[in-house]
Amino acid sequence: MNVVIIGASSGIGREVAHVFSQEGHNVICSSRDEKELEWLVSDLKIRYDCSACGVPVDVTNNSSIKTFIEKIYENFTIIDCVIVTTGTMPGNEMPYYDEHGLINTTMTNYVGIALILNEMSRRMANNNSGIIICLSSVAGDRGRQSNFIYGASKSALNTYLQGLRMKLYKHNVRVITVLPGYVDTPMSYGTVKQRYAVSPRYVARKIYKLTKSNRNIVYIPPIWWLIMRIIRFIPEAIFKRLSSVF
Amino acid sequence: MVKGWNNYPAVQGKVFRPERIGDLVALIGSNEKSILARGGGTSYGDSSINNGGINVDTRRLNKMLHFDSEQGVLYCQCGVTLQDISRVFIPQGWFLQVTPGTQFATVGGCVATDAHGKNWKAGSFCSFVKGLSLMLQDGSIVCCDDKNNPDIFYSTFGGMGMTGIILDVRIQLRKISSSLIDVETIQCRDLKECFAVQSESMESHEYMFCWLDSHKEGVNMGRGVLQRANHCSNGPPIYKEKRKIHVPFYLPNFTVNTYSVEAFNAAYHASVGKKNRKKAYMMDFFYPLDCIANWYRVYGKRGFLEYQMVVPSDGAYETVFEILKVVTKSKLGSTVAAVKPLLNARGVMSFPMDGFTFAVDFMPDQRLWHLLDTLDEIVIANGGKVYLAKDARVSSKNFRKMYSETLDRWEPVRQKYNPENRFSSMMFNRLYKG
Ligand SMILES: Cc1cc2nc3c(=O)[nH]c(=O)nc-3n(C[C@H](O)[C@H](O)[C@H](O)COP(=O)(O)OP(=O)(O)OC[C@H]3O[C@@H](n4cnc5c(N)ncnc54)[C@H](O)[C@@H]3O)c2cc1C
Ligand SMILES: NC(=O)c1ccc[n+]([C@@H]2O[C@H](COP(=O)([O-])OP(=O)(O)OC[C@H]3O[C@@H](n4cnc5c(N)ncnc54)[C@H](OP(=O)(O)O)[C@@H]3O)[C@@H](O)[C@H]2O)c1
Repeated sequence: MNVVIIGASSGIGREVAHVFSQEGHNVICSSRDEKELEWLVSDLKIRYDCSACGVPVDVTNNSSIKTFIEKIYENFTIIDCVIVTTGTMPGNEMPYYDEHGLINTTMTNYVGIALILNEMSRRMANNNSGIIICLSSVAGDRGRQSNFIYGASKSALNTYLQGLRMKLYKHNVRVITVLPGYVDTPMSYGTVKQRYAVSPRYVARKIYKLTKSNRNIVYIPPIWWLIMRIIRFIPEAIFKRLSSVF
Repeated sequence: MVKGWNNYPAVQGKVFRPERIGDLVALIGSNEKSILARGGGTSYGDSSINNGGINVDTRRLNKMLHFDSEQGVLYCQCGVTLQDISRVFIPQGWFLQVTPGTQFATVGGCVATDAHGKNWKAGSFCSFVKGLSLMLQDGSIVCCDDKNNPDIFYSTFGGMGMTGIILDVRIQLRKISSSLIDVETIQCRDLKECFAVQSESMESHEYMFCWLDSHKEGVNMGRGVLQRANHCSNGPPIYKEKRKIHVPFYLPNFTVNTYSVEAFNAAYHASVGKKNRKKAYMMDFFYPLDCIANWYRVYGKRGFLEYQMVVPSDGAYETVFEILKVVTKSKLGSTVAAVKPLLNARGVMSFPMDGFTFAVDFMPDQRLWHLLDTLDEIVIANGGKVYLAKDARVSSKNFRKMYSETLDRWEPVRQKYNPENRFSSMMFNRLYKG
């Protein structure tokens, strides 16, 4: 398969690149950090003797997205699978009314991804095949005072992916939403106890398995399905008072 | 909690884990605190701990950047582990020229400690380092090899992280045509025989290593089991991923005591028989302890200590004899001790010198500190030194005696590149300010 990974320079995306190359797929790695992508590609080639390349993109920049789409379809006529692991989370020290935080988070976690997936899904639909796997977060399941700017961008993404899934169903393009709990990457390092976090390699393996399944919305690890069920079940009238817990 | 492999000492400390080199530059720029890079944390003691500042966990800076498959030169980032190297390169017929006894060590850690292996003749890890780059205290990067900036190049070997953060390294690998090792195991009656068989094997065998019973006194003092080995020349090079046994929790502190140790030593000695020879899988030969992940937990939460020293070849037997006598008499040694030859290394602060190294583990005990000071004195009197990667207690005074000549050459370079002690560790503070 030709697999595009957006957000490959770090965390989960980087491990996804490892797992897919190890399994013998051709990976196209993207993110903003061109130097790091170049190193990642050498690393993958040395470790797995695979074919890999890097194409930079900044998902908050529309013209960068256009160049990116042109570039990959110039080099590969068909993309079989796209995995989106870009994301950003404003730090706790940033107030929720920080303008730049709001704009950047929403652009990175929702608008930019939607812009890219709109283009790529269109081409996949024309081909009548394709897999789209997009990382969201359990934080999108319910707004909480601690990180609702991030959560809101993720629930926008979730709704977008639901619609896209329905739209593309008859075109044989699968859309899978992945909702990880805590993962041991820079995004969560130091904020949660490491023992509650799963390794990014574990998440990447699960993602690889998803390419062969018919699932739609997947919590990793699965216990988060139950946890979020319970959290969503709490009536809003009570939930709003629980700021010390959430 | 930040700690070395032996769990002693273990202290609270701030840890930063960069995903990319850029994160490291940002850290140095945005921070005034002292910084210490650490790799696999497989050294024993306080060398990989920075209690006052930031500990940089380098294990995610682990990209392989280039491999020259003609010459066998690997260019990789510091956090690449020896296991990564085996996994990727054994199947291609390449292996490390020198490796310490654990594959969880990183390339950066092996350079900073100038680790030695069982093949003393080859030299130490840094004998095969062709170049490296280092992040200095202002976040700038300097590339060095034996022609460019040789002062910092040689001062980084065995420099325990005090010259800067090693970012990437070019290492020469060696060709192998089989993943099997032809190992001969020989029982030795006493220390004399151990040394005799070692010198007899020096020409014929590439790898050599001798376990000693750290409890047996009297005529059989220094009884041991010697292993000598060569690479096999046939059979395909393959890498097998092994399932590891985990020690799920810390065993009670009394698990390792005089009786259990003596029973173990006797059983081990007897199990070998007079002499046997077999083909072993490389990984089992080089990393016998790695099949049990976190085995240090066997010692309980208080951890353990290792004492490793080297003394010049002349008089090595007598010195080891003297030390072993003190150790066996104390009954504080745990499990086995080890002895093997070493060869002088290129690094300014490198541990290896032409001579023999002797190592022994101890259970922490009130009486131990005094015992170890006695050992220091014997080592100093005989022109030897302790291995910093295994140390948690040597006094500043004794350290300066052991490393006196090398310090004169090393200190000016360290001060030139790390003038404000931006790179610092618990060990450094102990040895310098103690
Ligand atoms: C079972 C076992 C067997 C062993 N056998 C041997 C042996 O045979 N021979 C031997 O020499 N040692 C041996 N050791 C000790 C240890 O494995 C080596 O010293 C090894 O080189 C340490 O590597 P590390 O990555 O774990 O480094 P750490 O323990 O994390 O750090 C060691 C030192 O290196 C510095 N350092 C680490 N990374 C960097 C970097 N990127 N830049 C600058 N400084 C850095 C740290 O500051 C610290 O001072 C053994 C250890 C175990 C547990
Ligand atoms: N870690 C967790 O605990 C956790 C939990 C739940 C959900 N998730 C989700 O999982 C996904 C991956 O998280 P992670 O932990 O792997 O995060 P990460 O390590 O911070 O990686 C984020 C990736 O996104 C890329 N990126 C950020 N902004 C970008 C932009 N404007 N344009 C292009 N690429 C951009 C980054 O690359 P560059 O900087 O090189 O551009 C990086 O590769 C995210 O969607 C996150 O929300 C993570």
